[in-house]
Amino acid sequence: MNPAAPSAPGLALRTQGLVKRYGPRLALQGLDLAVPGGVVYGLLGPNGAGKTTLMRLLVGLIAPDAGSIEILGHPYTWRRREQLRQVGALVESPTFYAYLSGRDNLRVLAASGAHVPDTRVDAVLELVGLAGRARDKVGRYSLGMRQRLGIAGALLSDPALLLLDEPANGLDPAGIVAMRQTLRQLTGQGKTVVVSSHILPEVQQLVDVVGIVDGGRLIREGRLSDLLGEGGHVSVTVTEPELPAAMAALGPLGAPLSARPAGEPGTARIDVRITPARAAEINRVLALAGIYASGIDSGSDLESIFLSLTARPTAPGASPSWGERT
Amino acid sequence: MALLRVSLLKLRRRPATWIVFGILAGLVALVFVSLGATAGSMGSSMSDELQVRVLLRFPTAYTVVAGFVVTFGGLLAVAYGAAIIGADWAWGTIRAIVARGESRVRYTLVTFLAISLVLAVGVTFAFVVGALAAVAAAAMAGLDGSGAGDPATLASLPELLARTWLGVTQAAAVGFAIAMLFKSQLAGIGAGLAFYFAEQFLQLVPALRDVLLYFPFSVSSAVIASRDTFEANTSFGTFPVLDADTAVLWSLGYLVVALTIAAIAAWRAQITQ
Repeated sequence: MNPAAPSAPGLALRTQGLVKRYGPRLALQGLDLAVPGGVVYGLLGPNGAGKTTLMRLLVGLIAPDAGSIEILGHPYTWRRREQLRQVGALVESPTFYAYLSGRDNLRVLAASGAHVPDTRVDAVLELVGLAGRARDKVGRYSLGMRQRLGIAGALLSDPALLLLDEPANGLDPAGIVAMRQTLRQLTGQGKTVVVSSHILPEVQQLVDVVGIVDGGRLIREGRLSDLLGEGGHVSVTVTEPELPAAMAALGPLGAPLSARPAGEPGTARIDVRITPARAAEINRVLALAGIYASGIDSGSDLESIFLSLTARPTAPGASPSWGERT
Repeated sequence: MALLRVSLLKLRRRPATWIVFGILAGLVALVFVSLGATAGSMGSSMSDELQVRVLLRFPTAYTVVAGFVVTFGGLLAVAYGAAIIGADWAWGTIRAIVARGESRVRYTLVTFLAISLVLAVGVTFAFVVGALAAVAAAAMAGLDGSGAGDPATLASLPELLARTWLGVTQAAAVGFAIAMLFKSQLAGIGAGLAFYFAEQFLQLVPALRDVLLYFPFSVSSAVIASRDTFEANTSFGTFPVLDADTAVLWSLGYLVVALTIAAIAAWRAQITQ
């Protein structure tokens, strides 16, 4: 830990050199994160990237092996967790006492940590659309209703920093839209929201700043608009025998390449991380090498940027890869 | 105070609380009804019948009721203490509490305080049911139950109840600490009950009896023993028993040790459930 590190103005959350080890496995390998205040920050990463470990560290569920955390401009350690009273969190799946009503579950939460006025419980239930079912036992709630209640619990103390792990899990489309609006309202009030999610199209609609984590490290961080502007991909489909020659021909472009099996048997897809404006150039390079692509498509979205940054090379002919995690 | 209030709310609304109270009161009542029936039956031997009649005579019957409450209650309390805190781990609810910046130690201690207050209600309820069953059993045995209302006897009941509550609460603390150490409801209940029964069965080994009387569950049972009884004679031989006042001190010691272990375990725990 490095509590003497200078605090950074304007940052709602900062981690420096954060390391967490589970036995022999390194879950976080010196993670540096800088979350500006007043934004929705999207924390992205494949399974096992270290997102949940980071969330657990941020709310004091586990202790880091090294590194420092600063919350709202103040150093924060596992043992001195007063800082968390300004933080609302939904980490992993929401957990409640099934035999208590939704309202009583929030009363239980309200009695711990930061002081919460009684009226706040009803206010957040109203906000997440559960006021009509507040007296029902949580055991009778659907997955989406539990998720709403989890978000209500995170909002209880009107936190300056909100940490939400997969907040859209189980929410219906109306719930997702309402959640998005609520989070936008919060950032409008100067609050900061950190969202960890796998639903990339949803994240793209929601976040201002993105941090992509893989293998326990931050591999990319920046404003979403910048990322989308410089990112993009062109995907080329060729036959498997043509794959080595196609990779060799595209190499001089200087763009990162990755190959994976295409949908049709005997074909492979090459993903070129390059602006879509250069799709015609790629087609020309392949044609000059005597390779005629059976398909070319391009795009610039968070999903393609995410995949290109976190893709593992796949041997042509192999079955579709789920991306082995370590 | 707010945390204690909601901790009590959680226990009050939890079906397990009322099930435990019901089982405890039911078992104690059943024992006395059986005693009453035995005392009144023609088939019993004279010495057995005399012994049963002694047990059903007030004020002794109150101590006997307390003895059954602490014995059955201790067994149930081990599982109850483990079930309550273990559920926070099994269901992951401790995660949400800790993530709100709540002190782990404060949460642990307040949760146990709530358990001990709820157990006070349960012990009183079971004692009242047991006492009523004892009066009924005395009537079945043809004994005069008027001693039950003797003012001097009634004046001694608060202390008897307090000792009974201490014995049961100490047993609950053992289950509570084990569940907190294992971070598991199932392991807490299983290990707590295994500990309880191991202690009971080991009493059958005469060489161990002088040591076992200082073990947690022997101590918790001894807190309400008659002050001048230092051993119990059974068909398995003579069992040394701590005098009640010494047992109270040991019981308080075990209570403090168990809660200290639980608090340290909570403070150090890496919550990954």
